[in-house]
Amino acid sequence: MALLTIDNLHVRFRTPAGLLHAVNGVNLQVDRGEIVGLVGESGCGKSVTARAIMRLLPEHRSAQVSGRVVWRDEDLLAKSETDMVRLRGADLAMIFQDPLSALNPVMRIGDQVIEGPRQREKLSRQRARARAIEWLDHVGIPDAAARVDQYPHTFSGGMRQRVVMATALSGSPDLLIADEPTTALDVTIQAQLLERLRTLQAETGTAILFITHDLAVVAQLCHRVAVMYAGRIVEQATVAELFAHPRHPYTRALLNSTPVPGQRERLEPIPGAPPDGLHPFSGCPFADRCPHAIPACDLPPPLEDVTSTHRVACHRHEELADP
Amino acid sequence: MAHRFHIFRQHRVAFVALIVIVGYALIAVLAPWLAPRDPYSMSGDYPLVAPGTAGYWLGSDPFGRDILSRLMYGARTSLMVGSIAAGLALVLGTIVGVCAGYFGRHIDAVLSRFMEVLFSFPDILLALIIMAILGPSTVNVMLAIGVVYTPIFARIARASTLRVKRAAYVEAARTMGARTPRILIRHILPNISGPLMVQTTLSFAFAILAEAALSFLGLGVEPDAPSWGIMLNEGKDWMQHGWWVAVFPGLAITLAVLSFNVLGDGLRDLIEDTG
Amino acid sequence: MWRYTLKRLGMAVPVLFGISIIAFFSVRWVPGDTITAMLGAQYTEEQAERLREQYGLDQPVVVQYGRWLSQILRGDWGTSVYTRQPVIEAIAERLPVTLQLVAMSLAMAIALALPLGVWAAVRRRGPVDASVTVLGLLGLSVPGFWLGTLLILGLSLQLGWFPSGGFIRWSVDPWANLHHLFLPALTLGGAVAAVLLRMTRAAMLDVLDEEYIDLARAKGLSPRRWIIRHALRNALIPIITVTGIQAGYLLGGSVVIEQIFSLPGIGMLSLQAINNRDYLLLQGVILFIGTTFVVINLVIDLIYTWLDPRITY
Repeated sequence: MALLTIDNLHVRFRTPAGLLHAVNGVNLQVDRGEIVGLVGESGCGKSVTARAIMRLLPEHRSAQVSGRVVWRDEDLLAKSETDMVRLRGADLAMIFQDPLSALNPVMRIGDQVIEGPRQREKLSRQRARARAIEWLDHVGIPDAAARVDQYPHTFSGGMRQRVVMATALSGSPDLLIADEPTTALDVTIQAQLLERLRTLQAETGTAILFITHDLAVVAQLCHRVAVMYAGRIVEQATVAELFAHPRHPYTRALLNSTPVPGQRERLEPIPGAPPDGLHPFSGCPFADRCPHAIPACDLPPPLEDVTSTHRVACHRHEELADP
Repeated sequence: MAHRFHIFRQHRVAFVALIVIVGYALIAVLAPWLAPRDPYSMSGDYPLVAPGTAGYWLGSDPFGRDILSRLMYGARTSLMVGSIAAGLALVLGTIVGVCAGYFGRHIDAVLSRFMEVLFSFPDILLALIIMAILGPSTVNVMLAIGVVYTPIFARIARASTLRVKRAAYVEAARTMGARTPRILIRHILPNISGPLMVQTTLSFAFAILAEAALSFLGLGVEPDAPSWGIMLNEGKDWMQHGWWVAVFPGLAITLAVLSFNVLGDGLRDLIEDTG
Repeated sequence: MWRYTLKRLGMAVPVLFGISIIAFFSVRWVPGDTITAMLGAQYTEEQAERLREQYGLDQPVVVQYGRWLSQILRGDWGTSVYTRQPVIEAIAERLPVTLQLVAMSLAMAIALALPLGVWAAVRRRGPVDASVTVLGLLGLSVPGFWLGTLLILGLSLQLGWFPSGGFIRWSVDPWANLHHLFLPALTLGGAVAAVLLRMTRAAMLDVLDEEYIDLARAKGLSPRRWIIRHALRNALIPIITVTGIQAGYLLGGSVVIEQIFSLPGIGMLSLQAINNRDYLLLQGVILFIGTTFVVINLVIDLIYTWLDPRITY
């Protein structure tokens, strides 16, 4: 059952250089309890998509958002800020990339963890503190009862990201949007954090939209994956299908440029750079960098079903399919 | 992205401010030719003539002197005091700050303490004391204001020097055996000039305000000199009879100070934007 | 914390010493002589000599400084040679006026600048922000003594809403006291409000770009809550510093404002001391203001450590 359905989402920013097309018609669905990976290079619009869902873009200033973001039966894009305040934290939560700046430096971590529920539920001070300790314990902060009253600067990057996770999960959201939460951490810490996230997900049943540029992380954590390029979804499938039978040339290139543990294959960087978003185009956005481009790629490729769980936007996907 | 748009808009405003400042400078330089009347000539027949009266566009003061002409000569006083005071503060402050920052240790301790002492007095009060020692005159006003604003420059220069000192290119120059004066002039100074330039522009604004305030209190330029502050001081007792004696000098000050402030803001944005 | 407080106090000592040197010696360089100023046009050299001896002015300057400093430390700030009033008493008498003026100005400035600055930053690049930017620049550029003059001309002389000057003690008539101080406080507070407004806006803009603001919003906090508890609480650290510095400058600005509105405060006292060449009084006032400034800075530094848990000493 669909929890979140993104339908033809467009986001543009007004800039002095002109209108910047950041997200160009994204369609994506997240079902109850599943973990969906959203993968792409930096600048492809995945973070903007996440913020558009949360309605955290500077809409009164420079961002123009259109399309529909349907949460259960309601379009989030049509909601007022007051309604969004009610939904954020309790229904949808989000965590961010930089653990060092994601916590308020002058507020005790326990207060930050339980602040959301406290605003909604009228918890007593003791109850709130106890619940904060509980959540810190859940996310794997050692000696949570002693650390609950400390300030963020006394925590390491990995520990801070755990606190951030507790902050988001303490509201028991149905969907957690995680915007590259492990990117800034080193590999061992990253693995521990992902492990903890998976355990928590299994316990709570919270659906996760996990944004990353790292396919290895997707393989480790996600059920389904959508590959994003230049503000569009170019391919989406179950994790098994995508890794076994990638259809889109960009997905293949991405897989070829990702190191796989245990294998000593040569990594191939993708030549060229993605379009800058300032110059709208009508055809396939990857055509300029694609080794298989043909004249037909000047026309926009539709997102076609390969199987019931695998869709791809490429004119030549059938020819290019693995034999 | 949106940030750059803001900078762009700021630049346009700063450019207008620059034009206003150039206008003031032209008026100051060309005052003897531009002024319709002798700013000192008192005409007992025409005291407190209203603006618009033939020959007195902005009216006359209680002594019958033409306000427009006095304003034009006042621009000379203000800009001269502003530029020399700001220049003095820049030179003194940079020397003190760079020395403190570059040599560190005891030199830093002594200079920084000294600057802190100067900094412990409200600016106007310190200027007043210095003026009381030196006596009212245009040169003394420049000196007094220059000294008062030296600590700000010293502080900025010191902080910037500390930052630049550790930069790779300075270390490189030192290892290559460059002498200290050369390092200071060729490597340190050019790289700390940005914030100092911004502060110079802002100090111009402060200096114009301070000159006017000191002159207003009777401890500024010579009492008969055409200064906007003195005009206000003379005008304030007469303003019930002729608002123009108090309004026009104040407008002249405000516009000049505003222009320097806007230009300073613009410069700061420019420097922060380019790193 | 206590160790830092002690260390910080220790650092203030040489500065205070420097202030006393400046207070003493700068006054010595003021041309003119108290004694001759005191005696007027008609006096004999003997009379002058006797008075000099009486006030210790015949001793070498360094001796005079040493004697003055040791007296100061013992609480004896000397007697004004002009009014025969003890310096401490003169300062104590004038202090409430200036303190009230500064406090009212600061209160007005904060009440205006803090909400406006926050509002402008949250609605960055909107019409409110533009107006606040213009207001801040104007406030910074309008000379206080001109604004004061115009306010007197408009609101007291023309409309008669406020008295044009003078002071009435709170204990005598609270309403008249506030009525008399309103315009001076408005004038003095204007410039400070401009500085605070710009600082608040800039500090808020810096903080609003931080990711913890996004996290706070993503938690579902109400705008009021994330703006105040997360954004403003962090922006407050630089704002407080600037407020402290401004409080010091208000003491200087009060010299001009007290003159315009004929308020018998510290500012007017220092002008009188300068004009009368009243050595001991002027020294006392300079020392007092400098020391106050140092104390304010000290307090600000200590508040800082309390506001920002990252700072540990």
